[in-house]
Amino acid sequence: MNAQFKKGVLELIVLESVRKQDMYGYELVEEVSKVINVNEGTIYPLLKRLTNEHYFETYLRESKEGPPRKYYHLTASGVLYRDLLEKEWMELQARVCEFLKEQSGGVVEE
Amino acid sequence: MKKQEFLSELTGYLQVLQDEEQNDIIDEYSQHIQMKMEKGLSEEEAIRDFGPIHELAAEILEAYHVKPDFEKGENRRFSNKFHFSHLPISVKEKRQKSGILLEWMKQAGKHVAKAGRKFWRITKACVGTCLRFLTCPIRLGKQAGGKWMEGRKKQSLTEGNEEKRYGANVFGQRISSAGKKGIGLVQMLIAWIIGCLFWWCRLGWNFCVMLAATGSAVCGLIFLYLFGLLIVLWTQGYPIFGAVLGCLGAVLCFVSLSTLGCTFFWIKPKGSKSHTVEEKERALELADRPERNEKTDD
Repeated sequence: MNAQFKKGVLELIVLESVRKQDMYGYELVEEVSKVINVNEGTIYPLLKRLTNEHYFETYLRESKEGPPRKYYHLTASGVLYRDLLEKEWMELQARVCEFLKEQSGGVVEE
Repeated sequence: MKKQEFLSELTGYLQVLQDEEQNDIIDEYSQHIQMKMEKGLSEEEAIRDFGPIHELAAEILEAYHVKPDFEKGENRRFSNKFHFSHLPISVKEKRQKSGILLEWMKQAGKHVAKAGRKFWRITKACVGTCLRFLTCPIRLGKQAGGKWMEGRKKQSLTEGNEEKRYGANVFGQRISSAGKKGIGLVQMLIAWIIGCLFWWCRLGWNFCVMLAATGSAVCGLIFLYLFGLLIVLWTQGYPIFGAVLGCLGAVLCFVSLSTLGCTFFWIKPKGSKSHTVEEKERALELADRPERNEKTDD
């Protein structure tokens, strides 16, 4: 898949994943990987950025195995941002679909 | 590539970030690798999934709104010399880096010291000049005193000779000379005080005159400005001829006042080198007098 497509939609997928329940980094990477095949390394910078922009809050929680894990929690502004992204995504998708349909329809007519 | 290698190389790229943030990121990646290894992947495989480290680092830096190529571009100028910014920071590298830092600090220290010395020299010169200016009367007094002491010495020599000649009169003479000595000292003190007073008076007077002259000159300039302004307005048809004339009068008045003020300066007369020299001469005269008195006594 086109890397730019993935990059654009990654933010929305990450926000949506964390909305349902708080997650720690690795868990989130696995969750995102189910949807799109993305370089695992790139998710951490994204998490960092979203945290810096206050869409995420983080806290540490002890785990049974290994060191404590850093959990990400979606904030209120994060939820708003997610909704905005979803709306934009839907619009974009609808328009692109419509455009493609028109074009293919035109080709058929010719 | 081993986990530790990967992490240290990544740290090398993230030097621009705060230590706390660096540790945060490194912790995340270290945990991620750990978990992948628990899932059964080898260390190498887990790290390979991250892709090229420099790209990963660029993405991380982008999240902080740092130019990803900052290390490559801006810092390359330094790294040409130092070779550390784009390499993993091993212990050796760190040592090298600190050495360079030390060198750099030394250089900076040298410059600072140089500037400090220069500043100190200038300050010393300024303070010295000021002090010399302020202590002028004291020095004059001292000089006068020195001359007087010389005079006393000569006098005592002659006294000594006289003592030999007129043995019988020695005691009386000594008393009288002691009395004269006291009088001379008092005279010198008075001369010195007068000198000081004159000097300070002159300073104060000149200062006042200068202040007054400067004040009226400034007023003159202000009125000149107003005059210009009003003349422009007058030529445009405003009925302010009277005000223009008044301003002109004020300009002339203030200019002549400041010029007059300048003539009131207490300047040292040209004939004798300076007023203070006059003082000196007077002090010397005073110092000479006892000697002459002595002679007349003889």
